[in-house]
Amino acid sequence: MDKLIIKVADDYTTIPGVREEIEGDFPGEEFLEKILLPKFRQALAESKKLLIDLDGTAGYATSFLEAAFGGLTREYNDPKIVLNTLEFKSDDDPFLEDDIVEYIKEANDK
Amino acid sequence: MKKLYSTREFKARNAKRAKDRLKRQLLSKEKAKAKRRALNGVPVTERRERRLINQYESLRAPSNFSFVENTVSVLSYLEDIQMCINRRKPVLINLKEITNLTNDAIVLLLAFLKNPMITKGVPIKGNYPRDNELRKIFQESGVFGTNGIDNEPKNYILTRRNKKAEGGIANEMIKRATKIIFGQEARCPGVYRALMESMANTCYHAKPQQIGHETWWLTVYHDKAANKVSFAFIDLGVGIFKSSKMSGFREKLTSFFGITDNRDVLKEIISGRKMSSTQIPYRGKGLPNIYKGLERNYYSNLKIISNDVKADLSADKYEKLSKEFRGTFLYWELNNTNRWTS
Repeated sequence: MDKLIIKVADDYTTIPGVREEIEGDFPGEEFLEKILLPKFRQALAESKKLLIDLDGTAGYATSFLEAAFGGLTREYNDPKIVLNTLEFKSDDDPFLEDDIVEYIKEANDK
Repeated sequence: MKKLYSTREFKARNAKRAKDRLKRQLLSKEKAKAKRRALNGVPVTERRERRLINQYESLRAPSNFSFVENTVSVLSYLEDIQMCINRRKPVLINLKEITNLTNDAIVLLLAFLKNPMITKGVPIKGNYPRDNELRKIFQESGVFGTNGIDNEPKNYILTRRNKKAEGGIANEMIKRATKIIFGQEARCPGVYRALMESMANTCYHAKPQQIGHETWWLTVYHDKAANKVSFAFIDLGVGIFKSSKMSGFREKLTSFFGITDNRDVLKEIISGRKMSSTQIPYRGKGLPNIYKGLERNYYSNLKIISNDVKADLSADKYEKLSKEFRGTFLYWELNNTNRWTS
């Protein structure tokens, strides 16, 4: 099955910010709105997986990840859709995928 | 009248008065001579400086000038400075006799002295430590006058400040630190995360209802002898336990578990145990994740000081402070055993 790919370092920034624009540049909410959500919709429409390549950046703040992936889950109100569609690549930080999955599962607890 | 001046009593009184006056004159002449001798060979500029300094209240800093190691004494010292400021008395920060200095105390002093709301326009001066090594660190920090916020490479210490979460600053500090520790510019995702979370916490929670009003300060210091780089982050906001995200959480902790001590509150925040089991609405993931960075070996020796709590998370030690610190302070170290990526 073909995959759509988002490489954060190339498609967005190498220095991701935090949650909201008011807190600083390259926030998670902006990433969700401009990059993640359109690709996710496309992946769902084309029944494809969406691979998120997290490598190559300086790192990720928790609030960036929560705003982006938790926000995506809240958009669809169902963690399963998100988890079934997304795949992750994170060689730089081996703990990142588990963290994101946790944020997706807990997204609707907020 | 003439008759009065020529009386014996008048003559005696007048003679005594003249004798006393001569004595005083000679004494002050001696004093002036001694003063001149002391200043002999001292350049005019230094003489002016000395005269100026005499108008200041000299406050001697604790000899162990380390916020991490000697927290209460350093807080007391800041309190003394604040009292002078409140009396509108110019302050001389006297560091001559300090024997130990860590970057955490420097960043605290920076945050304190560069905040016009705290200094209230009262003149503040300082002198440098007698010890050469400590003197260099202080000079590079830019606490007194010279600007420490520039792009010049420094041997000891780098300082940055901002009000927002700046990925560029975090990345730059990490690159410089890793070049020292690992011999090449590298990435440390855990350190980046901790820095960004700390900055975001300041931006959002340091001043309730005022996003992005509080300034954070960060210093990165290279301890050559121990081959480690320490990160000290500080804001002088309201502190963790009085921040807006604590509202509701504290009340629930008290009503569910009877927890009132801030040491226990902090333990619960970083462990996340009771929060997940009871759905207590504590929304901040920042501190638990900063703690995870320690568990994942992204950095070592993590310490937090806020309000009345000092926590050494590496040693699982939580101390109640007798003096309150109004703000949030985070400290950790990077050494060559920590995780990094090229």
